[in-house]
Amino acid sequence: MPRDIITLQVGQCGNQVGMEFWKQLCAEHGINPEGILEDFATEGIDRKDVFFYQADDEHYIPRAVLLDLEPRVINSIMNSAYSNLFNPENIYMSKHGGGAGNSWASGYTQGERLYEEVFDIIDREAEGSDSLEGFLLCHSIAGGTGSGMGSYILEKLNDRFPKKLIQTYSVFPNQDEISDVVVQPYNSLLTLKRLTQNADCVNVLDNTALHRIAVERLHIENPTFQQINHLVSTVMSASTTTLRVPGYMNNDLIGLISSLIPTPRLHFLMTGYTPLTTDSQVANVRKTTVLDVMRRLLQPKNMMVSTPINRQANHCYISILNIIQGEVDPTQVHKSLQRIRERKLAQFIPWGPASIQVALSRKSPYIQSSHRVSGLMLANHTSINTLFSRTLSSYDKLRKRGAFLDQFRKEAIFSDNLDEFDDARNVVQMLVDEYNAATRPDYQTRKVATKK
Amino acid sequence: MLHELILALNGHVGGLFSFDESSKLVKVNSVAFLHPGEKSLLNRICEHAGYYKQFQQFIECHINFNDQSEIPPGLYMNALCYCLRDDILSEYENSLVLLEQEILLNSDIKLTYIQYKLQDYALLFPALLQFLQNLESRKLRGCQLLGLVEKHSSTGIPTVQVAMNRLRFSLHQVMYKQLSSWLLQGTLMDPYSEFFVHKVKKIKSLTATPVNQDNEIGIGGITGEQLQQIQGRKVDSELKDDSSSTYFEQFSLRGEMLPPYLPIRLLHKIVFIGESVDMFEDNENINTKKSILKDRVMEFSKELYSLSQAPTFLLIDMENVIDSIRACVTERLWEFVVKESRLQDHLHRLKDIFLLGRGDLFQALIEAADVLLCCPPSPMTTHDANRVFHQVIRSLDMNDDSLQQFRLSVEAGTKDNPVAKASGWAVLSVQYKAEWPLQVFFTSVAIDRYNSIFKFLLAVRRVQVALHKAWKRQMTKWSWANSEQDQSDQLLLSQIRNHMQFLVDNLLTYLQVDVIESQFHEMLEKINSSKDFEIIRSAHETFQTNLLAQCFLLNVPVNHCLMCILESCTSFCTLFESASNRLTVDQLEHCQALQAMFKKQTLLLFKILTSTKTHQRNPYLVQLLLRIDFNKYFTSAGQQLG
Repeated sequence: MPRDIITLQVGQCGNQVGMEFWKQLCAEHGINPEGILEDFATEGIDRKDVFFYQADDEHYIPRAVLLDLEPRVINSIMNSAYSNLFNPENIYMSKHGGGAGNSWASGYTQGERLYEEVFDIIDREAEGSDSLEGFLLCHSIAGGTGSGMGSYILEKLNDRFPKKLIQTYSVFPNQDEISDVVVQPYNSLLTLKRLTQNADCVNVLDNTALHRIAVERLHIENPTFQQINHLVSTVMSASTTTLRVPGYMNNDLIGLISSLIPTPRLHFLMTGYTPLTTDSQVANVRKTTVLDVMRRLLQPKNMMVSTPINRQANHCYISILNIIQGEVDPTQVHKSLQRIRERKLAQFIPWGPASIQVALSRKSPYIQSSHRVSGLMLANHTSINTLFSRTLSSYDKLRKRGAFLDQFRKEAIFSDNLDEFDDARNVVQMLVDEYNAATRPDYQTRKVATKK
Repeated sequence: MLHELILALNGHVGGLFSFDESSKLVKVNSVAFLHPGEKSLLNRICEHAGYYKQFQQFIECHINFNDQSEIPPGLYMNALCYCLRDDILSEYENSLVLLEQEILLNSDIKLTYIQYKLQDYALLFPALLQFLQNLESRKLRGCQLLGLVEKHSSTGIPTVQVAMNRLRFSLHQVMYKQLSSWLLQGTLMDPYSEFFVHKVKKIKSLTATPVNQDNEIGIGGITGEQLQQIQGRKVDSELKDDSSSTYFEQFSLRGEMLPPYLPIRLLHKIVFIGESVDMFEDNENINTKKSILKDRVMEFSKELYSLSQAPTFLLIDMENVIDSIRACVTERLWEFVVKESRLQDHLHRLKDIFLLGRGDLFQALIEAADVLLCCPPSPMTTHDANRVFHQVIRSLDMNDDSLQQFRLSVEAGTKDNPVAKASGWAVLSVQYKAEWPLQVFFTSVAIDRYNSIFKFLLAVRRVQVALHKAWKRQMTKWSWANSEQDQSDQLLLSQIRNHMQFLVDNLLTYLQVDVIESQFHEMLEKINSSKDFEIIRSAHETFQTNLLAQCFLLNVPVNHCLMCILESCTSFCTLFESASNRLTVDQLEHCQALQAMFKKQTLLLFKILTSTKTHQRNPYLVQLLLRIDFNKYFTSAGQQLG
């Protein structure tokens, strides 16, 4: 049965987020930073083999490939306590170390050039796995390496492993801040095209919302990268929990995402998490009920994606999966569902059946948490397209002025023309339209322009 | 003449008196010198003699296990005869001796004096005779006598009551002896099968039949009647398994022997105590010789003895003693079963396997064993299936030891009883060998019930896996349509798949979360809160019955409907697997037929779910309905999916 997952972390953001993810996984599985199973964890029944493989009796090595075009982040990982965790052969830094200069085109071209070397690593890793189910890509869509090289890898993964699922954790740029990356809209648009066409499931992590959560919910005035990334790793580990802890449902990636994604393109998921705490915060231990958790998960303030309220479209949930960890009374689940329906806390699509699925899972016994119960929501909500519309509109502004196109034209893919931009815009526009269509009852019977 | 009368009264007729066999009466012969008044007086006195003779005949016939009589011999009958002879009749004989002495001293004694002296018996004897006749005509024996004595002792005549109480006392002596050996040693001292507890004969169980008998339900269905059959038949069936160490005898009440004045709950307690004691006495597995009653045997046997010596029977005293023994037994059992054998661990493991708690294991098994089990099984299939099962377990890095107790079993059709072309999956079941002393808990009946749930869950799970595969195909291969025809085909397929997957996903979530997790949680709470073994056992039984009910295994229409839905999903997945980008005309037709079928079935399901809802009889139906109609799409789309 395919169930192993190879994690690809690309670029600065991807590696930072990925590192936090591995820290969290190690802690949850009782694996120390050296990759050695702690004595107290030897009897565990958790499924370490999904994300790790065993080098010998006690050594666990992440199924991870670390890629970057500049050495800074990877070097800092190699200088940390976790330096011996990863297989050194799986770490690839570009030799010249110049990075992608925050340009998608540069990242993409370099990805193309490094294809052989990168895919040697991925192939070897895939061969080492008895039952590979898919890939998990961590990256940001705004920078150069994560977006450009990430896009290239997505395309090639599809060709190379057509039967494997690809899930991504994609960090979307903060819209409230003025970015130092001026070509961010270009980068985002071009990456979005690949996420639409080449990924099976995209978990959207919106930096805007992450910052807002850090400031408003956690009361951190100037959140650091580390703090934000901690939020991301919490979500990532929680969303993979049913894969890693034996349970009755959602035991593999396909089981996890198939019920969330009814049609191929509507595969952009939002996440919500509760309760949110930081390490320093001393949380008061409270008796949390399932209903509390499920209700809080439906509140926009706990969502890791910030979407402005759009009054024109009647945005709604396409599907929801709640993963609730900790000790809860399972008889409460049904009552909570009833409440939520009575109070109309969630608006669902009119064109098909939809409901809130609930998976109950255990917490890792090795982590002391002040909260008895925590919940993660994976939701497919039509309003996610406002993120894409935002990207489109900022792209349009830049493009109209023809700004910063020179650095793109330098690369092979844009040397002849800028058709790639137009195509990407078209794809993203179709995506936005499809999400809008999904708010209407005739979604399944509508006429769509076919691909030319 | 008086002397002859005394002799006649003592049963020795002759001369003046003769015994008439037909009317069973002793009569005075017609002698000329007797005045008719005297004659009738004599006849009246001689009635005693008639009765006495009949009693003697009865005693002769039944005493000392005489197997010539119509009623089979028995301890109870023997005790009855001895009591009759040595107690009640000997008193009569004594009064005759006294009379004789008086006659010898004073020859002027009148007949009326004799009549007066014997008048007590004039009331007792007819009643006693009636009792004996009743007994003989109904051919009562063993503990049945207790009931009869009880019935006849409710009378207003003091002498009769005293006599009956004596009889009852003597019968109770036998009962208490049997009872204390049963309660304290767990052995049945019952050579004539008279006690109200007996060992049930082993009947080979019919575990495999439920599937075949009711083809309508298809995979793993079990109807209410079959369940009742299983429940009614408290049979231990796992004994076909060789090992005698897990041997566990089943005892139950012997229906015809129940004393009517002992309440049934008390009798059940008695059975339970003996059963438990027996289990611990017999077993050689125990290293340290543990007797379940330990040091308290003496105490209890004294109490039982004093009960048996009590002049009158008081139910409340008996209940008190039985209850105190039971309390001791259940507490010890709780210690052995729940604490020392770690019942909860076993329950979790059973849930992992029988209730598919380890989803990853079964997902792997479904894929790994599909080639093997999708066709009708051969005698080798069980072996192969187990090999695959253990491979899967190893590949998942699971602790093999704890799963050694589980074995897969695939019932292969034999020549005389071919399992009609059913696939291996349909006849797949799990065998579980309970460790001592847990077999009290996980009886074969319980395991059978687990298996019927297992079959249903596995069927749903298999369909889910198939639908997930279809989803993956649709996502990867069909992501971009090339023409309008393609697109409409895709939309059709996508919609059907979507709806099917939605239904199956939610059904499984309902089963796992709303039913299994919830019920399991409730059961564990009950187990944790009690130290009474019987409460724990009944909690487990309630758990199972609730599962059967809420998995709709007892609700034939819903079950049938769900099975049909699962079947159309399976056909759809097969079609989907073979279809290429564009559907052929045949495929399209087939697909539309399936869609229509699915629509019909979901409509039916919806109708059943909503109609029962109003009855409020099966609240769990509403739970399923809530899940599949959460956004009211089901309702608004004409109450059908597809």
